[in-house]
Amino acid sequence: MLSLLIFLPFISIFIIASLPMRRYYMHKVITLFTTAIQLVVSIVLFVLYKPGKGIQFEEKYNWIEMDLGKVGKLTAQYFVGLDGINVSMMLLTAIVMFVGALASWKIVENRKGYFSLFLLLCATIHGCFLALDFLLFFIFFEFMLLPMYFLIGIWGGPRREYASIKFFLYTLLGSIFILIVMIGLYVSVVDPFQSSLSAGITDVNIFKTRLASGQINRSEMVHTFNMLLMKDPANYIPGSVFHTLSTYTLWGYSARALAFLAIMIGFAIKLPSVPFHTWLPDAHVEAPTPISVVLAGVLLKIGGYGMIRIGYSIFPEGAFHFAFAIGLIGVISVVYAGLNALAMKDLKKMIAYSSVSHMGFVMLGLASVTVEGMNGAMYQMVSHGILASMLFLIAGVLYDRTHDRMIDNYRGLAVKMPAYTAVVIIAFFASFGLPGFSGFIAELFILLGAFNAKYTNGLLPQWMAIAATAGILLGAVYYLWTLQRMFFGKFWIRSGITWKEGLYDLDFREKFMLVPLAALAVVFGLFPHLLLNVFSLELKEIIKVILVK
Amino acid sequence: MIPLVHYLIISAVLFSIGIAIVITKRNIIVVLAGIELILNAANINLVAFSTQDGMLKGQLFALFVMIVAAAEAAIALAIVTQVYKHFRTSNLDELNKLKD
Amino acid sequence: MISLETILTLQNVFIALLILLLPMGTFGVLYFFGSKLPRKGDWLATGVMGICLGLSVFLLTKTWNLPETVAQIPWFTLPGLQRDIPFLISIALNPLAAVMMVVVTLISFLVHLYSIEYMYDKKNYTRYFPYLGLFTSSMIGIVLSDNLLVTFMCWELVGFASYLLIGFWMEKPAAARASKKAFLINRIGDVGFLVGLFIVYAKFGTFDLAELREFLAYTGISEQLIFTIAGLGIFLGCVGKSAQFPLQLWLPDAMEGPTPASALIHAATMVAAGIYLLAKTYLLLTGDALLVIAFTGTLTALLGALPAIVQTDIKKVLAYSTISQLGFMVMAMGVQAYDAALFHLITHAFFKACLFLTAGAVIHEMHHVKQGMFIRGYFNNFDTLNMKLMGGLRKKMPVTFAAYFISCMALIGVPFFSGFLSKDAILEGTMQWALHHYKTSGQTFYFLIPVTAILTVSVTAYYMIRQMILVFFGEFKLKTFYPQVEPVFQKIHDPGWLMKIPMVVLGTLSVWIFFSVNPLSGHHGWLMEKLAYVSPIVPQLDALVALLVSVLAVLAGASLAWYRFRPATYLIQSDTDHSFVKRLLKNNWYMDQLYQVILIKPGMQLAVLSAWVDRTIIDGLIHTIAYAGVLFSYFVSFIDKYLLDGIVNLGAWISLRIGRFSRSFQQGNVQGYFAYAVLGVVLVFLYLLIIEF
Repeated sequence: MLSLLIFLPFISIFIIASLPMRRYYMHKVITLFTTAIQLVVSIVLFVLYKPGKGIQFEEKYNWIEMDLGKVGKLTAQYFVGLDGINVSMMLLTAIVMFVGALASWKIVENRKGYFSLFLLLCATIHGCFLALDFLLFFIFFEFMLLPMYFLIGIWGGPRREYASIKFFLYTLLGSIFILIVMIGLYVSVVDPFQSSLSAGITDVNIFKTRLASGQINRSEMVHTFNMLLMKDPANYIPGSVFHTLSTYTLWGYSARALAFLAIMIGFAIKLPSVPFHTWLPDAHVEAPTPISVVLAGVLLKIGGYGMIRIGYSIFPEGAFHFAFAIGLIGVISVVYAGLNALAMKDLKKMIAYSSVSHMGFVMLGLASVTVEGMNGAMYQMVSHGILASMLFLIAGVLYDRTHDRMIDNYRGLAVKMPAYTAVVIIAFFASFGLPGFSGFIAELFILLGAFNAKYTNGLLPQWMAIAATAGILLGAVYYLWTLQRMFFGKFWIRSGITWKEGLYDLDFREKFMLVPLAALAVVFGLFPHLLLNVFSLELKEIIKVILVK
Repeated sequence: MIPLVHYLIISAVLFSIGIAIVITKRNIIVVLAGIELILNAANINLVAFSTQDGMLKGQLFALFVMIVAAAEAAIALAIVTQVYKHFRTSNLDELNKLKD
Repeated sequence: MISLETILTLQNVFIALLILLLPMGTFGVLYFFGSKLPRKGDWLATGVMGICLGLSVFLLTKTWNLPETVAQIPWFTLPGLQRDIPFLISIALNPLAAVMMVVVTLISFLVHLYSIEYMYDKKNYTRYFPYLGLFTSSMIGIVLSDNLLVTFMCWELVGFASYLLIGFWMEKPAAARASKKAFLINRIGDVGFLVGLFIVYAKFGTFDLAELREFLAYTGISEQLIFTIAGLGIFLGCVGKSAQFPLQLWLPDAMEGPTPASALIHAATMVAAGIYLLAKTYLLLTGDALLVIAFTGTLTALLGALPAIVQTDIKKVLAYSTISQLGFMVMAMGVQAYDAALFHLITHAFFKACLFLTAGAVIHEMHHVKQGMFIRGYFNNFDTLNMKLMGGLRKKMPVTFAAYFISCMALIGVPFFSGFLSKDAILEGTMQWALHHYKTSGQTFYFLIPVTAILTVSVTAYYMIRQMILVFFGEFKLKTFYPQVEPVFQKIHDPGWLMKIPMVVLGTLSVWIFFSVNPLSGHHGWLMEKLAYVSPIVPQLDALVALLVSVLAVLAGASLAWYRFRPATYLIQSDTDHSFVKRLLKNNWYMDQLYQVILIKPGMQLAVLSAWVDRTIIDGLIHTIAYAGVLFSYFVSFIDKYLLDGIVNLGAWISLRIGRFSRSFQQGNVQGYFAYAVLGVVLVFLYLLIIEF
């Protein structure tokens, strides 16, 4: 089932590639159809998933096996599976990709290339969320850059080259940090099951005790990239870099602490958080609408997801030690990006900065290491995925009609485009956390967690929560100001008539994209348990591990 | 008994004359004759030395050289006629195509 | 086994939920399908609201004599570390909630009726009724909910609905501005509310008021700073929503909304929410917090009342009076006259709604005058809201005047009207409180509150009498400018019955008899008795003193206004003197400008600054790193080109030279080659010779 999600797009790419260029309509239909199937599969998996029952729907095949002689054995697996952390991300990806496919309907140039790359993106994102093997995860993580680079660089706006290069290099920089940690982990961790087989020990527990006392030969150790095995300190080779009692230090920090920092920086670039965020506004402004949607809707979430999946799960003590710093960066992101959004004159740029601001909440929630904060952070990722998609679609609707996104160039759009205005109002209010929409639940939980941290584990001071509350206020300010400037008042647009004829209200396709997203935001806003049930148990385990340290 | 040195001197003179002819003469036929002189100088040497060991190996080689010289002369003359046909000259100064 | 009592409770809860969800349903139906319904579905909205009113009255009779019932509906649970944290949607049914629901649904129903006539020919009629439904529904949510989180959610929805209603005529830039302003200022309050919620959650681990009541049942709230902050945080929410100082400036601007919506906002729904929240969270408020609340309320009462003296806009006067009256309620809450505050909230709801509706009727007629003049060929774009152009409408609109008169008397606080009962209770409460504290602490500043309150009562009487005289008495002043208006003026009449009924009903409900049999004291009326709250303050004073003071204050203010405005000489010209005080009042203490200077401008500058930092410093740093990288790679490529490649090229160059040199031996001449060969042999021999010897 999971492999279907990952490999179905490849089949479609093959079909698209073999169709001639002029059958572009088929390209669109195939893409849409593929994403639709993925959506259906994801929903089925989401429904079938049983919370708190460990890894489900797992698929595990040996992929790379190499005997390195004295140093041990290398194994990498094709290992995909669903646990609480990625199941909601999978659903979000499927939804956003489907919407993205719909939003790509009006792409004109080189449709064949576009849709092939789009499907490639689709496959890699799914792969990234579903992979449980670090190497597999990393490969998908890196591979994602390729279609993204071309999608921005070829189909983007006027400064697309600059934006795509900036995006590419920035993310690559982040993945270097991750790569280093991955190698270190690979060197340190053994697979107890396969190793005990190769060492001729029948009981895994006996193997583990012998491993701890250093009785196992290096040549019998089977190294692994399995992220689940990396969680267990008993699987680390004594004396290795990332062993919990490791004595390696650099600038006074232990190797594990540095690894946690490296992972956090690597994913903070992806998230993005201040001060690594400046690629985002550029990439968003230049990217075509569907790519902005995918970028904001899903790609940013890989940052948060990676932090939980790798940073918080594998290096729990780092989460404890660096909570203050992470929280601080989160708060700074919230407020600083909010202020930036207020100063933006370009609608899409404003939305991009609001994305940074909202993703700052994710960091704050994670830093709190409370039940409320962590759940809120996960919730925020899903919620922001939906709302940011909506917001970028909205910006795209206007751009389609007039090829201009400057806020000051419009007045009173509500007169010409009432349905559009209604959707904009919903999206804006949902985005700054009006109750009844998903954003409210998410931000409320994060703030509660951040505030409560002082009383439960003492990791964060209270002023952080209060400062972040100011971020919510800022959100209201820039959204409402934009509403007032662009949509209310007498109808007026700069440079007159030629645009006026193009300003028609939402068509059916646009409604079909926006209304279900709005409905989803409401559903997740009113029935939070739909999502919370899925991941809260898993997150509880992570928190427990962190707080024990 | 004529001492060996006399043979060798004769042969050296003959060899030097042959060398001089080969290097200086323009006409290809004359050069061929010079080569014959060199070969014969060698023959004299061979025969002279063969008197010293009594095994007749030198004379045997001299015979070989004569046969080879004959064959060489035949082939060389054939080449010369062909060269002449091709270039319409037998002057060696004008036949400098080997440079290419 | 479910007992009969449970079934009855369940039934009540069900009815309450029905009242909550029905208007929400009409919102959904009308918002999406309203334009397809006959008459845009106004009858549907009004009918549903009528049903809600009926249900509310039914619920009131059912629950009046029952103890409070709390229904906890599980919403979702969050698995916590020690225990699962339940989030509940709690509903508390008590007499207060039941009364409030009747008030809300009644006023909403009347506003619906009124709007059918008032709004029918206006633009965007389709969207008006769904907004009203949303507004009412969220307010009922606040009234019903017994959980702070749910209250907050409904609270925000009220804000959202008010945003839609204030900005209803969104083509007017002023309306768009006002709606944004209202929402944002409310949002500032919400930040405080949120902080209060955080503290409550952190300290008690729950949002549920029933649980909180249990926790605090015996000990009460402890006087810790953190709880004072929590209380003040929640109060800040109230400051925003109920337009207290210093966040009261949105309210006058909110007059940009349609007048019936203003009536709803100012009477029953939005501004009442703040007071109601204080009542709900009363048990969380510490003594210090109450003190701050009392002084804030007092200040608001005075600062709200004074600008009303000089306003010329008929709705603005009422808006300022709303601020002032809300100040009274908050003040009462602060001085622990809990029952008086809520009582005033309810009486105020009726007479203020009535005042707005009558003002709406007047504006409606003024609009007709304008149209009439236009038809007769005198185009004049005069301000239909300007009181200084009105006058003498008493005879032309008798029903409107009667309703206005009653509710105006109630607002001023004249005996035999509802407002007197509640205002008197508040004044008495402040006096008792001040005396009590004076006795215990010896501080005299506590008397500031009753003194200011009495002063404000006088001011209230002054500006309301002024308004009444300007609008309904004297001559129709527009005539002094345009004598041609006379025939049009003659046609001014009372509005139709759809507008008349709400005014009459609300006017009637502003008479004392509906609240208390005794026209001079509400303390033993049915409502106040039910709301009674055991105050820790021991009465020190005879209630008669408060009564006398109250009446005297009203008399003073009213007679001054009568003396000043009665003469027919009072004309529009007198408006021209622009003393500083007058300008100050007219511009609401220049608070807008103050906010502009201390909050908005620095905020915007900060935003621009951060954008600059982003573009210049952070991006600049990135670019610098990028350029440094490029520069470095140029350097590397330089080394590559000239150093590494240089070595390779040198080798090539040397072999080339050697090749050239050796090639010079090749002339292609057989003899030459031969000569070299010989030379070689000679050289070899020479070498051998040299070695040998």
